[in-house]
Amino acid sequence: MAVNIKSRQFLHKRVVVDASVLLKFFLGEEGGIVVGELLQMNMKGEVSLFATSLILFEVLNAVSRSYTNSSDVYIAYGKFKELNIGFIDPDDKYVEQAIDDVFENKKLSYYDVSYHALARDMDAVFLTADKRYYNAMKNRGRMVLFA
Amino acid sequence: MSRTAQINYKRVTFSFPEKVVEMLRRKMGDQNMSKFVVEAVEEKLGDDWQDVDDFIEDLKVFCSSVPKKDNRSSLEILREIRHGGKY
Repeated sequence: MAVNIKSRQFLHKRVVVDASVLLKFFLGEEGGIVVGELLQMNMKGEVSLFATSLILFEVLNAVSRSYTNSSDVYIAYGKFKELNIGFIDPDDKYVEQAIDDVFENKKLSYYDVSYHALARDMDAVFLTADKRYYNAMKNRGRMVLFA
Repeated sequence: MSRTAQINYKRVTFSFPEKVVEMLRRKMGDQNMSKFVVEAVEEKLGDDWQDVDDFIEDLKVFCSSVPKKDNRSSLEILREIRHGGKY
């Protein structure tokens, strides 16, 4: 699937990314090239990437299911820590927003909404590759579908 | 704390301890010192940015070549983790 999104559209912006975006890179999928560019821009200070601290375990969960060897998961973990993404621990403001979102839409989980709630709290762009989530919540805050 | 002085170059202002600016002025002259500072900063950034490019390139190669157990997409795996595949 061709990816229409361009990394430069996020230049000098604050962007909250969720696990669905980073996994395109860590699982070597086609859109991973654009994610790689975004990570590169983040390390050069051209964009500021943030995520909830939950993202580490979501990424580890997925690569552990996908990679054959645990030694490769260790390598991915080591590299992941060097990406300079701003990991934000749970904070009342965005957790309370997440509670409201989950009660409004019972199909959503805290895994889905926490990143989006953080983005709204930070007045940042939320970037997700999860089309179902995007369609359900696209009217809230500034959300961009990675597609 | 030492006092600071500024060196302006186009629309960028660099702040240094006053002594450093005085030393640069003596060594390079008023006309050349801002250019000298900008070149030094650019050289350092150039080195750092090359390191970033190499890091990402290496990681890209690793992620695309690492042996994988199945061919499911990242989104399928993530949905299974988040919702037990029921979403």
